[in-house]
Amino acid sequence: MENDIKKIEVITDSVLQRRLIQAVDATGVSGYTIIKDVAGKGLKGAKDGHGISGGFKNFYLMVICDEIETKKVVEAVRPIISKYGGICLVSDAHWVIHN
Amino acid sequence: MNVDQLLHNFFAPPVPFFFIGLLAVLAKSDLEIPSQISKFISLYLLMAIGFKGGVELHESGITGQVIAVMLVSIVMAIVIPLYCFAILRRKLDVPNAAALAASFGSVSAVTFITASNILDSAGIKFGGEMMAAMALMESPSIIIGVILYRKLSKHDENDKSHHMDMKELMRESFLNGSIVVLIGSLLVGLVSNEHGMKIMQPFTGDIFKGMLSFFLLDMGVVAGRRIGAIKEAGFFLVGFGILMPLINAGLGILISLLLNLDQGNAFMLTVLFASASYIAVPAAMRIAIPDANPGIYVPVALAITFPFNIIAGLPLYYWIIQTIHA
Repeated sequence: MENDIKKIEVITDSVLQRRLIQAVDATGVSGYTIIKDVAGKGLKGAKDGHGISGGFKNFYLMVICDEIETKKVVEAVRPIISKYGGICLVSDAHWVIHN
Repeated sequence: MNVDQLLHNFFAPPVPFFFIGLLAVLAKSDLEIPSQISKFISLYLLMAIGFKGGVELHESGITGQVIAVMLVSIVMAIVIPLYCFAILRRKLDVPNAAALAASFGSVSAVTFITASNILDSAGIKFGGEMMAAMALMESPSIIIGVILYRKLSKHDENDKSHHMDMKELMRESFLNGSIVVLIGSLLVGLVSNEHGMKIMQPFTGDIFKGMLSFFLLDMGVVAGRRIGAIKEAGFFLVGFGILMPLINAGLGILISLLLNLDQGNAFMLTVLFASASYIAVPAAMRIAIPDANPGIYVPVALAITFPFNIIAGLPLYYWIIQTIHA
C-alpha cells in the first residue's frame, strides 16, 4: 500500500547522540524525532536518567521512511550500536496524517 | 582555627545537604532533582568559581608561582593516571583499569567548589590560579587513559573508527561544555576586575552558597543511588577509592610545600590531586573505551571517593596543612 512505511526506533547512550545523528543525516532521510533524557534498563544495566554527564541517560530516535531508506539508516546505525550498545527496532507503520 | 571551628565550618551549609540527599535515598524517599536543573546548577557553579578565579588572577597577576602551579597540575594530571593504572591492573583488565585511572587523574569540580566554600567560611583566601589548574587538570588524563587502552589492549589495528574516535575525543575533552564555561568565565573575570565583580556579585556571590547547597543535595541523591554498587565493587576497589585520594593528597601536600604555597593554595591544590572525576571523564570514556564498564568506574569515583573526600578527606587535608603551616 502507498501509505505503508517503516518506523525505525533507536535507543542508546546520550553521549552518542551527536554521532548517531550525523550518521543518520548522512543517509539523506528527510527527518527524525529525538527524545532526550530517556531512562530504562538493559543489558548494560539501569539508566535512571540521573547524573549530569549523560552517562546514566539514554536518548530515543525515531525515523519514519520507506524500505530503501530503512536499509540505509539501519546500516548507518549498526556499527554504533554494535560498538557501544543500544537497540534498533524496525516495525511496519501506516501513515494516517502527514502534513 | 581549631578543630571545633573546623567542624563548625564543615557542618554549616552547604555540606550537610549532601547527607540529606544521601539519607533521603537510603530511606527510599522519592526526592529527585530534575536532571536539567542539576545541569544548570553545575554550569552556574563553574561560571561563578571561574569568574571569581579570573578576578583574583587579575589582582595577583601571572607570577612565577602561578605558572609553576599550572605546570605541576598538568604534570600530575598525566602522572596520576599512570601509577593508578599500574595499581589497578593487578585486579582489573586494561579497559576498566584505563577508564578508572583516567577518573583519578582528572578532578571533581564539586569537591573543589565545596573545599573553596570551607576556606571562604574560614576567611582564608586562595589564588585564581587554582581555578585555572582545575581547568587544566580536566582533560590530560582522558588522553592518557585512552593511550593506555589503545597501546595495551588487543583490538583490530585496521579499525579506522579509532582515528575518528580520537578526533572526536580531543574535541570533547578540551571543548566540553563544563570546560568552556569554566575557562570562559575565568577570562571574563580576568578582563573585568573589581568592577565586574560588583556587577556579578548578586549572581556569583550572594546566591552561591544556596546554589551549592542545592547541588550537594542532588549529589547526595546521585551518590546514594550508586551506593549499592559498592557491594559489587569488592574490597580492592573500595580500598582503592579510599586510599588513592589519601596518597594523591599526600603528594599534593608535599608539592605545595616544595612550591612554598600558602595555606589556602596548598589546600586547594591538594583537593585537586585527591579528587576523581565522575562527570567529564565517564562521558568521554563511554565513547573512547566502550568495553570499559561504567558500572565500575563511575561508582568508585562517585559513591566511594567523592563521599570519602566530602566526609573525611577535606577536614583531614585541611587539618594536616594547617598543622604544617602553624
